[in-house]
This record gives sequence, structure tokens and C-alpha cells, in this order.
Amino acid sequence: MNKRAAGLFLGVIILGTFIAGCGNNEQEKKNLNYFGGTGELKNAERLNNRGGLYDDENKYFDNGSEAYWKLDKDGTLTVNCQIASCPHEDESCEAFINSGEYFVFGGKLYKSYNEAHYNGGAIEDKGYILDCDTGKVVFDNPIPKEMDADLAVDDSTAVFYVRVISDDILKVEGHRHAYLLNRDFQVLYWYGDVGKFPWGMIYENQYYYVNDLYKLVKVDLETKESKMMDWDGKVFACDNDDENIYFSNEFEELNCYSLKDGSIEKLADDMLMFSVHNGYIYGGSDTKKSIYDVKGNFIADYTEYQNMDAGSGILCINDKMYSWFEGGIAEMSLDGKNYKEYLLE
Amino acid sequence: MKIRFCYILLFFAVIFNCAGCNTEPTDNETKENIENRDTEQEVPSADRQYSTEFAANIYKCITNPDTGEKKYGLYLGEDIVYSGEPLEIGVKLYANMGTSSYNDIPVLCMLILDGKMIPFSMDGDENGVQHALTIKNAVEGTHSVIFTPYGVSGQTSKQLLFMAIPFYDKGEVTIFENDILACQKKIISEGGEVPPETYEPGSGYIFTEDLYSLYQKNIQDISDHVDEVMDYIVQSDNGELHYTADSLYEPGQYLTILVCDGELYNGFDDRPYLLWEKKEDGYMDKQIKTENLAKGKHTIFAVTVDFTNDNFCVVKKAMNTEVEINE
Repeated sequence: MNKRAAGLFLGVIILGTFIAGCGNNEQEKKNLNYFGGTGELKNAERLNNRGGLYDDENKYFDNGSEAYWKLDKDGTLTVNCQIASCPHEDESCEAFINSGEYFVFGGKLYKSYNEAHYNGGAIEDKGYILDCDTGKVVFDNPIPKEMDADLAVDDSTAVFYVRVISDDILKVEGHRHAYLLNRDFQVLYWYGDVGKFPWGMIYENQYYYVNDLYKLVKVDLETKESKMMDWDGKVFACDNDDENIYFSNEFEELNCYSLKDGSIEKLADDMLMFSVHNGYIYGGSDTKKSIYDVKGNFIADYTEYQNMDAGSGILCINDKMYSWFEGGIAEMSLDGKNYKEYLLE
Repeated sequence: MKIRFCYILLFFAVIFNCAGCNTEPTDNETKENIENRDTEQEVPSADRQYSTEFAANIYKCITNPDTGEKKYGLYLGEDIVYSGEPLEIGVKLYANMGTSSYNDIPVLCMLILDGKMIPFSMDGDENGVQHALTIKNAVEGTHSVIFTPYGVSGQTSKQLLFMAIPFYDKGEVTIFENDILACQKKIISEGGEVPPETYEPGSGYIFTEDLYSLYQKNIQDISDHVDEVMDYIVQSDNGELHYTADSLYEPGQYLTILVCDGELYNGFDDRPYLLWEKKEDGYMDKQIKTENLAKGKHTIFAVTVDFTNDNFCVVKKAMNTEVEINE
């Protein structure tokens, strides 16, 4: 009897301890964010190409074909999936994403992605934005009802680009249309003359973008009045900081347009593709990669870093620049020093 | 009994819960699995020695009337515009042979307007339908091209194709050196009508027999590059030379240019080019004249431009073939 009672008591203790342990584990899990790290997820700064996120511990990179990669604080680069046997080939993988990306908007994590649908015998992509907390689709990128029928025929509901323009405005771009959405994913404005790149910015309630004629367009978000900037020449690529728009033209010249006083100043040559981060401009081509400050002063040549992007495909996280390459991530400091490569393990 | 039953319940509860808690693998397990997967993915291709990249682009040429200085700019959402004078454009060429030993890359340049080779001046040289130059490995260079866009009018746009054939003078060419640098752009006229150019289009040669019936050989015996290229220069057992394009070519209009020993060769009825049309279920077979070839060995290949589509051209090069002329 005593033995039985002791045995039962021991069993209860073991089970209790175990359940408590699992409870702590669950608690730890609850403290982890969607990507399995700790702290709030934030968007990496980028202009074109693949996006990225980061939290207190890790950086997460969209590698374009499978699950996101994780670069941890020890400098280890792995696929961000905890299932050992997972081939990261479809949606059963927790970090897999098909033709889309994760992004943070208004403090919440969303996923944009495309799915193949049959439409009258043809297969076409249909785009969605999903709230990662609720698992519900919050936007499905319809073709604008007001769009001219001739243009609409050639449009699609696939999501090409998603860009967080400000804390409360999101831009979703399709084949022939772009929407500006508020935090409730209601349409604030749409336009059909989308340009080559997804860049757009807001300054004093004016939305700026480059249209399909390679012209800068300014839209008053109050009145919805749209005006094409009357400049000679064309605008190819654009990026901005708080008070300036930086743009390259057809002659690969980099210019700065002051939103404050409307002046335009040429900053550099041979800078067709570029991006602006933390007071520096990264740009050039595969054969020459340069860093300038936003006044046009030359800072560094990083051409020798073959795996660091030449400009607009570069990512900025805090005080470091990152670039995806086949099998790894390249890193350098803002001024082009301390170059490193992390290879996928 | 009840207590024993409780023991059993406890035992299974512990086993079940432990199993549940262990569904997440350790870091080591995860990494090991990832490493295996990546090792498989990273197995290098045995036959690929280096990566290659070829690029070409057409630029507009703006001349400062005061200084005469030329400036080249991208055509952004616009066509090439002809306004009456011989037209100058810029062409940027870039070839990257990776870590190979190629430092200087010879290229043979041609200009094709709506499927027809036209004469042009390159970097100030005299007019010609071909220009040979050397470009540096992994260095982009800009070249001046001046030409007359025959037959272009305000109502009729034409398709301009610039192409540069790398290693055109090299006897041995691997599949990785077989790309063409090519770029194209629509051209329109802002001026009046330009007199139409007179030219004789080449004839189309459509056969429906299979290659075996012609040569008594399978395609695998004719070329080492079956499935890598779609057309071939072949020499039959009686010494005849033929250009053949297999059934993988889609129905459409094509221009084939013949190059022998690094020069355009008038092997298609005394012309270096042949315009032909591919129809359903047919393939191309055209005998190449050998009368103009000296006795001995020669290296010959063809470049074929698919200009079926008004908006884009596709350019393909047949592999080099060594032929022997006995008489």
C-alpha cells in the first residue's frame, strides 16, 4: 500500500513537472514572433529587389525561391524553418512563400503572395495580402472598376509589388494599376500609369511616383489632383530621403530634386540604378559600384565586392548594408567598409 | 486495479507528452538536414567551366551643337526616330566570360532592319555589312553606329536589330561561348517618306522528309549538340554542305547568316544570308555552295534571327562545324 501510494505520488510529481515544463515552453513560444525570433519584427529598408525583416536577434532575408533565410546574432545563416525534414517547397513549410513577401505595416505582419487560378482555361496569378495573425485575406488586389476597359483587358489581379510608403499608407502594385491603401486596406487612391519601378513617396500629403512615360507625377491626396512634373528629360529610377527626391535620367546622371525649394542639382555620373539609405547613395553598375553622400561627395568604390548589389537591390538594416547572392548574404558597413559574406549552412 | 490502471495512464501520458514536446528538432538536426540539401544543390555541373554573361543595348546619340560633344542616352519608352539625315545611335556591348582566360573577345557586328542586313558605319569606319572589333572581357564599351534606315516612314515602323557574334573567328567553340550579343528597337520616321529599298528576299526551303532520309544518319550522328542548338551545318558523305534547322523551330520567318573562317560567306545562292519561312511540320534544309571555298579545312557556322514577332527578335547560333573541301 505504501509502495503503491509512493509510486502514485512519484508519478503525479513527474507528470506535474512535465506539464509545467511544457507550459513554460508554450510561454516561451508565445514570446517568440512569427519568424521564431524575439522582439518586434520590422521591415528592412530597400528600394527594389527582395525584401527583408529583422527583430532584436535576427535578420530575415527573402531569397526568392523558398523559405526566408535567417542570419542570427552569431553570424550563422540558415533557412528559417524548424522542421528538419522540410524541403521548403510549398506552403506546408512555415516560412515558405510563393511569389510574394512578408512585410510589417502599422505594426502588424502581413504576407503578400500569388496563387495560380484557372480563368477561362488560362492560368493566371491571383494576388492576396494576408494578415499573419488572423490568417485572413485582407486585400485581393482587384482590377480597378474605374479603369478604362481597353487597359483593364491587359491588367491582372496579381500582386507585383508591395511597398510600405508611410506608417499608415501601403502601396500595392499590379500589372497595370497601383493602389494606395490605408491601414484598413481601403483604397485611398489608385492610378493606371504605373512605371517601371515600385518607388513612391509622400511629402506634405503629396504622393510622388514615376509614371510609364518616365515622368515624375505629384498627386494631392486631399483633392486627388494629379500633375506631371514639367521637366526636360526623363526620370528613370528614384529614391528619396525626408526632403529630397534623388533620380537618375536617361543619361545615367544622378540628380537631387529638393522638395523644399524645387531646385535640381546634378550629383554624379554613371548612376542609373541606386538607392539612398542613412545619408548615403549606393549605385552604379556591375562594373562600377560607388557610394556617395547625399551632397554628391564620393565616399567609396565597392566594385570589388562582387556579391554586393550595385545599388537599388541593396537592403539596409540599422547601420549595415546587405545583399542577397546565390548561396549567401553579403554585408558591409554604411561607408562600404567591413565587407563580409555569410554562406548558407 | 485502479491504481495499476493509473500507473499505466501515467506511463502513456508521459510518453505521449514527451513525444509531443520533441516534435521540434534540435538545432543540430535542423542544420544537418539543411547541409545535406544544400550539398546536393551545390554539386557543380561537370561540363560547365565558367559562367558567361552577354549584353547589348541601343542608345540614342545627342550631339551638343555648340561643342560637338556626343552624349548617349537610354531610349525610355520611345522609338528610334529618323529625321532625314543618316542616323547615329550608340550601342553598348558587354561580355563577361567569368574567370576564364579570355581577356580580349573578338566580335563580328551586323545591323538588320526588318530581317535584312544593311550597311552601316561603326566607330567611324567605312560603310559595310559587317564590322569586326575586339571588346574587353567584363568591360562595357560604347560604339557609334551610323546607318540609313531604308524604307522607314511615319506610317511604317521597322524593327532594327544589332547583333555581335563573339568568337566568330575561333575554330573551336563550346556551347558556353555560343551566345550572341543582340539588341533591338523599333524605328520610325518623323520626316517624309523614304524611298523603299529594293531587295530580293531569299527563298524559303521547306522539306518534310526527316533528316535520316536525306543523310542516312540520325541527328545524333550529325551533331554533338542535339537539344542544345536547333540548327546545324552538316556535311553529307558525298561532300555536300547543308544548313538545316530542325522541327523545334516554330512556324515563322527567319533570316540565316552564314559565316565561314571568320567572314560572311556567300554560300546561299551567292548571298551570305537566306530569308526563309518555316511552316507546320517542316524543317529547313538548304544546300550551301562550296565552289568558292578553297580545298582544305574550313570552319563554318550559321546565325539565325527569328523576326516573326514585330516586337522582339530571337537570335541563335549554330555550333561551329569543321568541313573539308576535297576538290
